[in-house]
Amino acid sequence: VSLATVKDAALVERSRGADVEAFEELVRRWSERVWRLALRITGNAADAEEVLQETFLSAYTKLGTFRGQSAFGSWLYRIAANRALMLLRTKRTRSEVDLEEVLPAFDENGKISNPATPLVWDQGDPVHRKRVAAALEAALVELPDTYRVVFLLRDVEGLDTADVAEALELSVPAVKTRLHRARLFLRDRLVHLVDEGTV
Amino acid sequence: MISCKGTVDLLVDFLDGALEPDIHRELEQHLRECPECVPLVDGYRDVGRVSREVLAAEIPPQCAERLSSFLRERLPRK
Repeated sequence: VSLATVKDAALVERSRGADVEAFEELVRRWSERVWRLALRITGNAADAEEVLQETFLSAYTKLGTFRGQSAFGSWLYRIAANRALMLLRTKRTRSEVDLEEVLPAFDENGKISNPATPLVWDQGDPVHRKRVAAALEAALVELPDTYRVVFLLRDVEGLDTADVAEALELSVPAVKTRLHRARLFLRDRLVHLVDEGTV
Repeated sequence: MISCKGTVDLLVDFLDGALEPDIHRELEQHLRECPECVPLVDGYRDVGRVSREVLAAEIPPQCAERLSSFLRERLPRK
């Protein structure tokens, strides 16, 4: 039987029994997603590669602690996100944005003060796509680290809220608050940066 | 009737379908009747999808090869 058809949980079991080929199949399956997450958290390729390598080495040595209650991918993301956040803490110099500034404004009756600008997304236009990508990458860098990681895990990698909470050791309400503010902030930045043609 | 602020505050649960049915219906009604909120909610909903599309990236082959070598040197073989 080709390892490519074996489920993650079975590969984990075999890896625990020192079956390195089974673990290598897990690496093949998950390395791109881990690398992408690491790249978006750290913001540079060299750091992402360091996080990628350390994540899989750490995962192999910690396989005995994986309880199988969450998916292998969520567990792996947890290791990768924590590694990436630790790396950022050792070299962080950039300042973070005040998210309060971009929250929508409301009048005393809770009515929105300024009508929102639509977010334009023309997938088929490569120039527009490039501008959106640049705006998004710039905006992600401005987000506080845990907000960025919550958004990446939840909205880009597609984990559910409970898995994100578990991965980052946050409460579910704390994940929702960070997700909400990250979405509002990124929407605001995309609307204005693309609109103003500053990227 | 729920306000714009009340609507925006509940967007995470609204989009997850996690609100009580009567509150969910109130938000839907608000969005039908409030043109100011609609672009905000649409953009809020779309930012994840747009991000997934523009942030999609393939791992460079050399990076994947270095990962394999790194692990080959460190993982115990039978």
